Amino acid sequence: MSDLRRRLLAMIDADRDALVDLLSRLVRARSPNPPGDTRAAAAVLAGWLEVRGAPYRVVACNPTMPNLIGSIEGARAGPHLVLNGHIDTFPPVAAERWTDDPFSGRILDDKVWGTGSSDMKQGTASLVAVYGWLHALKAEIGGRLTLTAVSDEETFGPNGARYLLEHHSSEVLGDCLLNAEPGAPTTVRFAEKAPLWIGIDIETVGAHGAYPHKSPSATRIAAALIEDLAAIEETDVELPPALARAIANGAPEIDRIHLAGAAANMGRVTLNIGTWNGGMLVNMLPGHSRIEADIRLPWGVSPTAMVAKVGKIVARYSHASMRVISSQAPEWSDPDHIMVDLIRRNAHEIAGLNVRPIPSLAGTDARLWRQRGVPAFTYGTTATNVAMPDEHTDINEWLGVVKTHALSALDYLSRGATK
Amino acid sequence: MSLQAEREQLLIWIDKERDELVNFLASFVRSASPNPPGDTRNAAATLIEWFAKAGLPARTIAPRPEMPNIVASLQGSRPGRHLVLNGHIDHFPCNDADRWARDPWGGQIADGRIYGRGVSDMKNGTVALLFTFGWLAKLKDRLPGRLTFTAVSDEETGGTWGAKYLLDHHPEVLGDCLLNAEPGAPTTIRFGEKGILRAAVIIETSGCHGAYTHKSSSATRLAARIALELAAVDDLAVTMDAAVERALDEAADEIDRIHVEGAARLIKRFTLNIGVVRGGVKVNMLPGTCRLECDVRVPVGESVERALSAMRVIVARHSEARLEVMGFTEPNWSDPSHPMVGHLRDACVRVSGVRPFAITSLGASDARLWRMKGVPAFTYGTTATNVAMPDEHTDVEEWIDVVKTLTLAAHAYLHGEGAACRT
Repeated sequence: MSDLRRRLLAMIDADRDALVDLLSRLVRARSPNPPGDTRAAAAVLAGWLEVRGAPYRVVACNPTMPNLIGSIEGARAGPHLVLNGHIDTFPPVAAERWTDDPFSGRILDDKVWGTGSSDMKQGTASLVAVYGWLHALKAEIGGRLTLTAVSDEETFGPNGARYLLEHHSSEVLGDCLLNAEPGAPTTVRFAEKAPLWIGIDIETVGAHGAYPHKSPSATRIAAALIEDLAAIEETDVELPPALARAIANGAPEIDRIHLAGAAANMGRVTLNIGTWNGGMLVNMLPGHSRIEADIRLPWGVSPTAMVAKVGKIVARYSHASMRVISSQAPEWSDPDHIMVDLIRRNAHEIAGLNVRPIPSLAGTDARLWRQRGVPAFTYGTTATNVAMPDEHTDINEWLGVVKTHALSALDYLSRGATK
Repeated sequence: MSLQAEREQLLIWIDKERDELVNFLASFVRSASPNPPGDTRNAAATLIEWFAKAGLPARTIAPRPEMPNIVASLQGSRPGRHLVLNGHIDHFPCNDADRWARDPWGGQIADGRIYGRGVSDMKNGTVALLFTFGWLAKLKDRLPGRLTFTAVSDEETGGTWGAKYLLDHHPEVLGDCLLNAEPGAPTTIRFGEKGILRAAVIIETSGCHGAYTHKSSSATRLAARIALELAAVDDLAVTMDAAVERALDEAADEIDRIHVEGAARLIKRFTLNIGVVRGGVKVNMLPGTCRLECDVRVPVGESVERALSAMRVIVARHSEARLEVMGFTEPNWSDPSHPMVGHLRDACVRVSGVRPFAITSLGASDARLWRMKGVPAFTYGTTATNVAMPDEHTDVEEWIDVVKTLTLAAHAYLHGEGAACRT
């Protein structure tokens, strides 16, 4: 191990308690989204950077949703690595079923507890800390390191990473993105399925519920349409070889982390009828019903083709009309990219883990970099009770992830040549 | 005076008091009584005043002070049949006054019509029965039997403090036969009502993030499947009394004319309406709950249990779904060949030259409460014009004919034409 790497690990060990305290304070600085006010949490992160003299500034499109950006230049030319995490969290789920206050930030049983402790304050804290340590070592590294700690991720809002990439792209795009969303420390994620959200409205005349011959029923049409939509799950998918290989190799681990069936779903189109509503009163024949579908597209299936396919099904129903709420193409980065290699080697060295590159079912801000041609990778702790009561992060596992982040960033920047 | 002469006399009185009748209905409409909230004291006072003027005794029975019911009785000169007249004082609320061309509370008389909220459902019917009571009172020394008038509150919200209360606590309102005057169409005599079953299907799964469809079954997709399977309720075979079926078949064209084509077929069948669906919170979450609220109409001759057990079998196929009964009313009907049907038919032919059909009704009325206690009950009224819609109104000519028909039919029934029977 090089001297530089040893010194970096020593800094992390020296900061261990401060780091755990940072995560605890960050959880206490509640930032549920909606409503998405992240000012208190952003201030906690900014405090860490200020103490260590690491440069940053606040970019806030919406004043209650600040984003932190900072960059440091190494001593010589090299690649530009961007770190990305988000500051906002899901709203607390079922507060009455938590053992403790959902925003306690309590440190107990070698875990940090609270809403956002796993998704993804642990990851954002890790990247902020890595940025601070590498700032201390900047005379000895190459390239450029940029930190982005953003708001407005949980609702795919416009004020966070999307805003930075649209208005500050030369600063935050970089040559490679490292994101720290939770998942499992045995996997590095190089791809995400793409969400396609479609709203379908069914409009009929409506009538009194005793007179069903006077109008078709919007709810019963909706039920038939939902059944028909299931056909899209049978779409033939020809996965790009890199994805097919990664899914095949990672299948047991994917099913272990995300339960049996997850690996099969990676390569399929899935349909979620996220909301289905209709009618006002039980004794009125409903003249309106609305379906919102969340379709996840695997690699090789284009949103345009899927919209057409859904359109054909909807067109069978003269009372139904559809609207695309949100559409994205499934993207992936090269699973043989150097960053994947670095993470695998470092995780093995630090924690003895055998890390596999896998795609991901859910979406993260990393997709925004991929969409712009920048290889993007996600590596984080186990997603424990995310969006459930008693969300928490295991401190020892997390420290291994932090060290893996730090060493991989250092190694990447030390290579001395752009991609 | 012969029966024929009595009939002539009644028709003369009705024509003579036509303006009084119209003006009384207009003033009754002006005494607004929307339910909810259901405070009918002003409107009830209008009726009480009428009794005082007519010199006829009437009682107020008010288990809830703001929802008075009025009961009046007259005893004929000798024993005979007991006929009960029933109408309601309350009416739907009016939440769309801005869409009315007329004042909903004005009781305006224009173009041969009386306008206002509640005039059709059913102040015109209640007034028709009130005046029927008044004219027959003038003949009471010549009439056999007993005539009871009931005007109730709390019909629009189920009848707990109105007809239900009277029937449970004042059995003198039961009688041998009930005549009700809810609007519908003057070409039909209604002898029964479909039953109603309201039941919710509740689907509960664990739910999860929308990208992980393998982790939980989807409450919305299960609900769609169950909704489609429940369509089997529409196809349940129906056993119907031959006399009822014959009456409905004879009236098929008229039922389709009044209620739009298709009604005659459905009146004999179970129908399922999925009135409300509520599932999921957010497009990208896989929903852990979905609720379907079903409104099943049960044809006359069948039972709520038939529909309920069919639904239970379907819902039981899905371990994550359960069925919850929200409420029900059994279908109820009286004999379509009861003498009262004949009296109404004869009177209608005499008054307007039209032969009305005996049918069952799709909606519910207080008449069901008498049927459920074993008393034959029949409904005859004007066209339901714009009920629960802007510019509700009653056509005066049509209404006067209905008033005459009701009066002549009540008169004939008390005189015991045809055999008295209870079903």
